[in-house]
Amino acid sequence: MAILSLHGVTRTFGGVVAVNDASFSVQAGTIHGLIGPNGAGKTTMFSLITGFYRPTQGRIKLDGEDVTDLSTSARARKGLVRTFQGTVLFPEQTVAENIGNGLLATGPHRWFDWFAEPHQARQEREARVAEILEFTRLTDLRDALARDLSHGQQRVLGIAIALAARPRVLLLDEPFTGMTASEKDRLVQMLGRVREQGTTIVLVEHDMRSVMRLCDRITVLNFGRVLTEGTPEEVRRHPEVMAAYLGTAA
Amino acid sequence: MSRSPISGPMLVALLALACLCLPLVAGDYYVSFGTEIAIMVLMLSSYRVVLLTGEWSFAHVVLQGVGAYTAAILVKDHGAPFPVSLAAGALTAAGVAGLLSFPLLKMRGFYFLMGSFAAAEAIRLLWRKFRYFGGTKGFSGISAPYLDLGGLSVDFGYPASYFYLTVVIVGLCLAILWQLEQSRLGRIWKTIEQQDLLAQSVGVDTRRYRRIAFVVSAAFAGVAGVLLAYAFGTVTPNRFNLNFALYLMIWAIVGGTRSFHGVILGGIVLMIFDESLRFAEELRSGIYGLILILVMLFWPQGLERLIRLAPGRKGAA
Repeated sequence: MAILSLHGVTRTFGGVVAVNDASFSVQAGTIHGLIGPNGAGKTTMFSLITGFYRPTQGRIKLDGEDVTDLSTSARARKGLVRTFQGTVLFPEQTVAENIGNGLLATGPHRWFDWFAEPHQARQEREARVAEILEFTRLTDLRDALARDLSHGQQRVLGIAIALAARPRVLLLDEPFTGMTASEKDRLVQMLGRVREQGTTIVLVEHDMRSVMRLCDRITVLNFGRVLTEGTPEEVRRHPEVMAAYLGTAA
Repeated sequence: MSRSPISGPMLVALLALACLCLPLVAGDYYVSFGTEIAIMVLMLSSYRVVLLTGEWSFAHVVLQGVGAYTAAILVKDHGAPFPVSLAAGALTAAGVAGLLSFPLLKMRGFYFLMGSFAAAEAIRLLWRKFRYFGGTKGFSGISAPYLDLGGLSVDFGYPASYFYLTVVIVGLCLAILWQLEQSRLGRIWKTIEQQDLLAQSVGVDTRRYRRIAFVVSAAFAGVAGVLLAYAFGTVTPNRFNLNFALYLMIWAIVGGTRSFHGVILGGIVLMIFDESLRFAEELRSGIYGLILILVMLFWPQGLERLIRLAPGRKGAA
């Protein structure tokens, strides 16, 4: 079952066609990679899915529902939650507070806790934060300030914040960038556990090794178009993919 | 998780005690001055709500004026009792802010600041232009509140009684503002200030919550305006001009906006300082300029947001 699908999505900037009539769908419960050489339109595609850009043409559907005209925050409340390239966190807050912020719009709350959070809601919130700390192995760092974490830890915290918002589809923007080999290993494992919980993952990534290890399906973009789609093995053997990568900085 | 001031309750107790004692030990002049301080503290604390979302506004003082004008018109033209004009002042200021928020909140940072300035001047021109608002002279002779509870009647026309009334109302407002800041709403405001895009990515409709902040802030500015109208008995357009908006900003910066108690203490200290400058009226703005520069140089924490306002917000605009 397709949880996320793009139907003939096109985006132009002035005269430049960044994404050209792209259609593909992401199956629920899979890890889906979006790859392609530099300038292939990956980042534009990511921004279109998250709602940062609107498509010039085409529709985007989440679980059958058209979300093309929704803002980023409205999409997030429907379960389409993104992370950021690099480290975008609440640097002056603790790890636990950062994760708690992920619950602000989608976590347990009622309208009246605008004023005073009821005891039960507070307990639910703290329990949820503890759960995510545990899941992301950040429990020991819960009271550390986000800005004091290592780069790898900060990347994990970014994903933890997104997980707090209860995504149905988690969109990761180059999650492996700047990580050490062992940090990559741990992240691959963690994302595997996210999938086990039933969350679909879509990731844009340069790091080929991690993509090939992690993804169930891969969509290859080139010059703004979908070049091919398939399992990592199929994609690896596809002659045009080779050509596309060899033609640029592979 | 909690990083609240250690002596929070102690501070509240001290302030309450000081307010209780002031009319007992000081003359009428200083008691009236105490009333002004209390109103200014409410102005700064409500201004902080907008600051929490990462914006600086020039409109806050004019929104206070909306409250003051509402009270003046209700009292002079309709003989409204104090509670009615208090509620109406808050609601009108909130309503005006709600309307202004639609064009203004499309902007951020510097553009929002300029937009709020334009909107504020437009409102002030309306007051000056139309006789309904009293023109350039405004309103005077707003009679003091009078409370009649069956047998017990209190005349708030005396500096001391009006001071107590003001302190009680300001205290209640501060309690509400404090509670709001601790709530989910307050946490959302802070996330918008710190990482607008990240807040959106986890589902926070940032424009909606910025609007709520602007409207809530205006409601309390409206209360401060009503209190001011009764305190002076007069309301004039010049009392809400750019000068006062600038002073409010300077005091927020110099007093520090990082913490809830920071603006309160800053407000009190600066009001007293300002009063002691009365002897050198011509030097006043020069001295403020100097203080501002010194604070920016040696104690920039209070300034952090204003500095970030220029380049840091570009990506979010």
